[in-house]
Amino acid sequence: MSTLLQVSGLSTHFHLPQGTLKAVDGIDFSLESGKTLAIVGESGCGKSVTAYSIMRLIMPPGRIESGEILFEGRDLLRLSEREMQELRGNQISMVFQEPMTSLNPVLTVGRQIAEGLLLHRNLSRDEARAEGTALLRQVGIPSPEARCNDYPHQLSGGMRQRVVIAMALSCRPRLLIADEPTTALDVTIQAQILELIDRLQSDSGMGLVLITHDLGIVAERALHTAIMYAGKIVEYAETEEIFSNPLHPYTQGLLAALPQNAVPGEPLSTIPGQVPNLLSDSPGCGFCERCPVKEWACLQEKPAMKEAAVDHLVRCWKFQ
Amino acid sequence: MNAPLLETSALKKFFSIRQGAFGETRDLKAVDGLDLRLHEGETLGIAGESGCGKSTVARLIMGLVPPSAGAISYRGRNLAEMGRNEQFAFRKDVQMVFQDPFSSLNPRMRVGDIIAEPLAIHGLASGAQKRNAVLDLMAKVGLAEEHFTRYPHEFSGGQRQRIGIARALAVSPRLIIADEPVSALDLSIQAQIINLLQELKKELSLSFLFIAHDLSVVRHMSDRVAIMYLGKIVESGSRDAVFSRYLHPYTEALLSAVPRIKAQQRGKRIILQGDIPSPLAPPPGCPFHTRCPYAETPLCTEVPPPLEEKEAGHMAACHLSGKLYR
Repeated sequence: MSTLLQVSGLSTHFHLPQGTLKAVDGIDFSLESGKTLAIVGESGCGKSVTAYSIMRLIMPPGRIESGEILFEGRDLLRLSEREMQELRGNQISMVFQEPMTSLNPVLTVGRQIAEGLLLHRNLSRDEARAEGTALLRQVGIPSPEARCNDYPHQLSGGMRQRVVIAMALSCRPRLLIADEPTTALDVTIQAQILELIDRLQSDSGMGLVLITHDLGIVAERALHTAIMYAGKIVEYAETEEIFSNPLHPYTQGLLAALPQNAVPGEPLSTIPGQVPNLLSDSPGCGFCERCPVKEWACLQEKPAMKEAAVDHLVRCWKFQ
Repeated sequence: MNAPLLETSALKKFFSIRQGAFGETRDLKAVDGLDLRLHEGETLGIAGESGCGKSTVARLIMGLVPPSAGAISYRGRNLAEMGRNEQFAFRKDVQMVFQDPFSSLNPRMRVGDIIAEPLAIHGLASGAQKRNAVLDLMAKVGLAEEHFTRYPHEFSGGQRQRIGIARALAVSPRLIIADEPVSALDLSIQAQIINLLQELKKELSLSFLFIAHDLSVVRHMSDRVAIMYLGKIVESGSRDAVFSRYLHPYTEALLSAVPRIKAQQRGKRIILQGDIPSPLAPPPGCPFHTRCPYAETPLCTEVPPPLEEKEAGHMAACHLSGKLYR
């Protein structure tokens, strides 16, 4: 298997009047083609900024400060904007959380799908239309010929997300970045969409970076999992290993807090406190304020990522 | 047995929708003949997907929208027949916790004033007494004294939900209607709020109508559960009956669609085809037959199944129930 995506030392900061917000603060991961990596974390942990950084869609006051994003061996951060446009939507695609905001409300669905095809695959208008219809059929939209003439508001949430996925897949990308692709959807529709992505992935060998906060989806779909907290990856391993042998206190806390893992009606285990404000940069571990096993060292200095078990990386002083 | 704390009978809410500028109006059947019963000290969970009418149920009970037909009774008294004073007392007894902690608090009021407002409206306390009552409430939900003079925007989602809960508790209600109280919160915060609600329920012997789409949360919170689809209850019963011995194919599909952490909990996934039909044009017969993997008889497509007691306390609306393959 070849490495499709290799991210190393990526830092994306936002320069705000109040100070520098280190949304992504030195993260490393890699993904092989055909495989799925899940990036998990709560709001504000930097998982979406990671996705936007790979797509190079960070706008001021945000800036990618350092790092390397190797896509099939090429560093995306060294490409010109023009070269990046060639890749974006073509070899690297993204599905956003809220389908209504990623579709243009005043263009028909067919027109929007055709856009990528005209731009990247040099199809004629008729060919693009035929291909667009085929894509809509592939993602399970009934009577796609008629749906092509619909505007986004005429479709249900599940349908819209299918359209967004059809658009993302229209140029047969090598890498798909899906940022909470099913969070806005009902659970029966979510099951449909996840099956669809699964099928397309095994058909085409596409790599998938799946960003989500739903640990159930992660457990079922991803080969590897990265747990993010306060801009850093705090634990990284194969998904099965993380769920059966979580080492970081934050991961342990998350898994214990799930109603699924509890006896109904009994108190849930909680992580006290709240997600830290990333503007106030403390010298110690980002999690130490909420950590049940913190020690003196945790407050003084940030721990490094260490291999605590085979292929199981943890950022915690307990494992230094 | 005493009258239930809250009861709805054949409750309906239809919204008239005009299609196009000159089009004819049609009825959107948001809630279509709902019989609920909630006993004192109990948590009744209502689960279902978006558009099933579960939030409309909350709004009907709170009197935010008038019912189109049917009745709501509180302690055996029909709401529609209550006089002004009795209605005022009902509104004190029944309080609501909303889904979105960002839009349900007035951004221009201080936290202390937000929590004190219901006390003033119901004339329960004033002056120093009111201030102490508010501080008590804040302590109860885990807010610090210094938060009294802050504004909602200074708080995180979880803390705002605590403010909303304190406001609901201010007038010593008996019943809390909670509409998706944790769905906007992060996982680690969600567990804190769930625990808080459970503790308060025990401490203040409250009853809950708990509305949510997340089945694992509903399961955790509820004593009894009702599953809604297109404005109707398709299955109801005790938590264990509905989650372990479900009788309706929709309940089965809904449960099978939940992504599981533990591999041994994963059963065969049933992928429902298609979307939920529009409540403007619900299908004839059983409302679920268009997506049901078992529906085959003309009975399913033509005759709406009644909600029947299939075993003690366990109701289902399905012509085929008992024939599920599990």
